[in-house]
Amino acid sequence: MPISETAAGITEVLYGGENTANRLLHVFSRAMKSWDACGDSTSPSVCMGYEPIKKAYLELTKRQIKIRFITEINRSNLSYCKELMKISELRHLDGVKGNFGICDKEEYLAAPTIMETQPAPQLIYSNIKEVIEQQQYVFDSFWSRSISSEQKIREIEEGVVLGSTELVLVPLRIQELFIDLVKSAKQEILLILPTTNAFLREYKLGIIQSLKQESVSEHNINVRILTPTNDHIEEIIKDITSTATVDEQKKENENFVIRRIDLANEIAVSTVTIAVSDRKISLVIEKKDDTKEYFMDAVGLATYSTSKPTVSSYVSIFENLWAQTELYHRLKVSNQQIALANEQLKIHDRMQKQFINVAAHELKTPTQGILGFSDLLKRYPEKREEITEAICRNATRLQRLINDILDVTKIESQNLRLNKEQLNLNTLISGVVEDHGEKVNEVGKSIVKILVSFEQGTNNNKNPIFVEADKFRLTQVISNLLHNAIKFTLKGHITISTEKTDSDAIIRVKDTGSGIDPEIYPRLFSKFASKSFQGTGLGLFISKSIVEAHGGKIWVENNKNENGVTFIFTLPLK
Amino acid sequence: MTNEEKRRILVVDDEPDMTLLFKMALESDDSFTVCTFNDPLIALSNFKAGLYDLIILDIKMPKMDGFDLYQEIKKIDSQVKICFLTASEMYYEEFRKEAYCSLDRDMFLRKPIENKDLLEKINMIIRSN
Repeated sequence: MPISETAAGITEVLYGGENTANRLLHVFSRAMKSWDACGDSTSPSVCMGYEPIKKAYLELTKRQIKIRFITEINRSNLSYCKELMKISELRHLDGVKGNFGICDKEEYLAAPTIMETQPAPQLIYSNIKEVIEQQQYVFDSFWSRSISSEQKIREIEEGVVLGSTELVLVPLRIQELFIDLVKSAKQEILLILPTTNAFLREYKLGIIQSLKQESVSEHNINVRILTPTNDHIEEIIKDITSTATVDEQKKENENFVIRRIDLANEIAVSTVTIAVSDRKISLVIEKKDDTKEYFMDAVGLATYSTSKPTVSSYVSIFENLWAQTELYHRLKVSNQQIALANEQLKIHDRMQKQFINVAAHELKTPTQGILGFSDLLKRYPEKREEITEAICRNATRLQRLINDILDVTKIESQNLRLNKEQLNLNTLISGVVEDHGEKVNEVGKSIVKILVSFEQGTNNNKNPIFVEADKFRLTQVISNLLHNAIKFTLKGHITISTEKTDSDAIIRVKDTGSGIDPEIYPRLFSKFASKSFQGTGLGLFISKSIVEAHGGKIWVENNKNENGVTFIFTLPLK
Repeated sequence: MTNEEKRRILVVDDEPDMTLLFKMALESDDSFTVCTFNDPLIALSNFKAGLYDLIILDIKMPKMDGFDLYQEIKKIDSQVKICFLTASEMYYEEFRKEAYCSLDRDMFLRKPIENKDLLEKINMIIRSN
């Protein structure tokens, strides 16, 4: 029944399945080039499930008419769609309503309602150019938004639900979505926070705490967070990660991981908050004003997506940043190590220079003495004794230095060998002290008394302390400690004492001297640690090596309530 | 040569053997009389302008190093000739640095030095203008 007929063409409405089917077949029979159809999810069953129409479609294919078809492919029309795919270019579009088709861009057919495998009860026909152009435009728009049927069918068959992407403009809604996303996760949550303020806002909102809670809950949800931090945030992280039980802590260590984004590393900076739950839902939140304290004030718009390609993209962004942060961290650590090594090299270099300087000074001074005094011997025969003594002093000093340098070389090349024997420590000490006698401090010209105090009952003869030691080396240690004590003690006295515990002999050399320069203190037992104007700073390094080679320990203590220091070393008794 | 006619030399070195040596070595030349100190501060407190023709300073000394002592002595007696005698390589390097570039480079002697060379140098310095 025509409803309008003009010079431009006709538009009519047909009723009854038979009439509508006949009109469709009639239009098909005249088709020359193309048939563009768009229909709801029922339409494939009408095309492929109602025999006369199916036949007409097959006929179109035989005549090489190009068929394009848009429908909503779902599980229930899958088999019809597959058939339709064979004869047409089929694409999927979510939520298609109504049914229409355009033939050769000249004739338009539309069915408002249809039923499964039945011809439409009602059909609108038009060949008016304007109507057709308008409908062709609608079809083309749908076509460009649709996705391929293969992809959709694969998604249906593999059980993937094609998601959607939604733009959310209302801050309250964004906040709700964010909280829901965190609470609804079953396996994994990934979160990127772009700024320290974003972290603080999310913390105020309780998101960070919830994430931590989820990670240790029975769901075992894996939470990974990427965030820039500052001291305040580090405090918060420390606070929320300190958990009560060992079990929780174990879980937390595995499931709740925060990596720091270094904002100076510009490649690893995100400008939006990205949250991904179970690799199925993503929420990307743009900030409007990062200075705001509360989430609702700071948030701009957000995109909430369940679309697999979109969510996968954010997962991939996250994973890349995660890996990059790790790499950056490693790079930073290795840079620090290089800087440290470099610093150590510099220190080593400085020490070497220092050694050369000290050694040169210490070699040249006695050499000057020997050289100069030997020459004077001829000139002043009457002062022979005085000059010979001076030569001897300088020669001894030179010998001591040479021995020290040789000892250090042995120690460093691990060639310090001990000739151990059973010896009485107290006898050895008495001997060393006797050799030193009442020593004149050359600087102060004062006399420093050396007192010897053996533990009661362990005196020299009655109750000796026997140790297994290298006599020569042990003498060297005691002699060195005494020598140092004398050098730095201008007045007062030096006390050397021994005592015995169950396992060790303890030897103390106590002076009333000037004490140890605080600058030297931390490296007192390392090489070249000397602030004095005589000496190489090798003595204590050698002493420490000797004591340790015997299995003992050496250290120093400031004297309580009086000047000076006490050097203490132990030797094992067995 | 009477004591009044002799050239007066001051030696400051913290090592007693060194001051003893330089005193004996320099006084082996009859034209010199030598006064020595091992403590630079005592040397400074005893110093008076016009007292010496030449001062020989060690550099590496406790309490005050030779460079500082040089500056202090020059404040009291700007005309006095001063030379340095050191065994330290580092101080020699330091001496060459900008901070000490005003110091006379020819006045820098290095240990060890033989007695005859020392006398020769000292004679040269004392006789120079």
